[in-house]
Amino acid sequence: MERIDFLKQFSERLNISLHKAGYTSTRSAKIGINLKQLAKMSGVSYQMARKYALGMALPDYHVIPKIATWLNVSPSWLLFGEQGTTPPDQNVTPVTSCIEIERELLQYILHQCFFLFAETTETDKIIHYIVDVIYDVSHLNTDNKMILKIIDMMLSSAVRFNQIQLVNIHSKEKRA
Amino acid sequence: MNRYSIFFEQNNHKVTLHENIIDILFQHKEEIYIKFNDLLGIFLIDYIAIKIIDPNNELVIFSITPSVEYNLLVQGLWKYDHSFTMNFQKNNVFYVWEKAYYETYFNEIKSIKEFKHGFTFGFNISKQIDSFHFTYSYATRSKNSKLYHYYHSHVNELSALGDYSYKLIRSIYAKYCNPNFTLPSISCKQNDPPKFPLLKLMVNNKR
Repeated sequence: MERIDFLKQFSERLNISLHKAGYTSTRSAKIGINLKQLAKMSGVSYQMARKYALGMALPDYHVIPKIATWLNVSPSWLLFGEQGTTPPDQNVTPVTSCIEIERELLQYILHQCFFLFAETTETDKIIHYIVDVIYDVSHLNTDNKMILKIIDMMLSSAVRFNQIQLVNIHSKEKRA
Repeated sequence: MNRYSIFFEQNNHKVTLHENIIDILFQHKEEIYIKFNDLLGIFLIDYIAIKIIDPNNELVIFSITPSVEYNLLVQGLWKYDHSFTMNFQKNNVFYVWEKAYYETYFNEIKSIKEFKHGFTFGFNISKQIDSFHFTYSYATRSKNSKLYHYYHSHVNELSALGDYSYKLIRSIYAKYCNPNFTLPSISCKQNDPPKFPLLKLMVNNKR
């Protein structure tokens, strides 16, 4: 596919999404969308927003997610039109990979990461991370001793990164 | 002729692994996950890793999915993947992962890096900054047939994304890089202040 077609198709999806979200304008008969709002939400100039809408320019990679989030479509769909010409439902998570893990290892991970939940308000973030840890563990081709060491390393990284004070946790446990 | 003698014969610039390469892969897992995770999905990318080879030819890897690299490293198969060597380290060269696999171990490496993770394909972009060699490694699970062409025609953007990723993990790398070397700084387009033409104020045409 030529770049010019790619830009045109991107602008069509952008315009469809803007219309669907109600960001229309009668000021520009040719484009028919609210460019001022698009520029504001994208953090770009009015001229650049106009270029996006006309298929003359493609947003930078850090701008695409901003527009996608604002219009409630996926960045992938906006950029590539994957899954058809209409935006896919954002609430449906595509199946990308499966996780198979030994019961004992899963129990170990859950036991080791239990304290993370007590020390954070960002539960979703922690859950995503733990699922990612489980994914990595399920793909490690090594003995269980090494796997346990790796699990500990990965969970310790969460402690360090979130600056969780293990001392406090242990003292709380003792008090309990 | 065993695996290792083949390797030494074919590589003039021998890459060695950082002594803590495995620990580095996992010890910063969450920080890397949080930082790289924001970049996933933009180009339908499901995997990002950065390989850095320092001027002493010592390799360190930062990966959002470290199990990919771990399995290659512990099985010694990394030596049969050119993306771990100096051979493919040329500026902004785009190549799909499988182009770098040695034929002898093609299936094993393909299975570890791609099949087991459901990646439809992966690709690398290499560049040299100062005396450091960087390989930005990406993979996707998308079955979109337009992607290869898209990636291939957006090497500069993907290279910039790699630069940005490096910027995010630079502070981690600083802990492991040989202190005798100065870490390369990469300026990223989106964080640079806008450049305006410089105007010189002239009053009554007098300087």
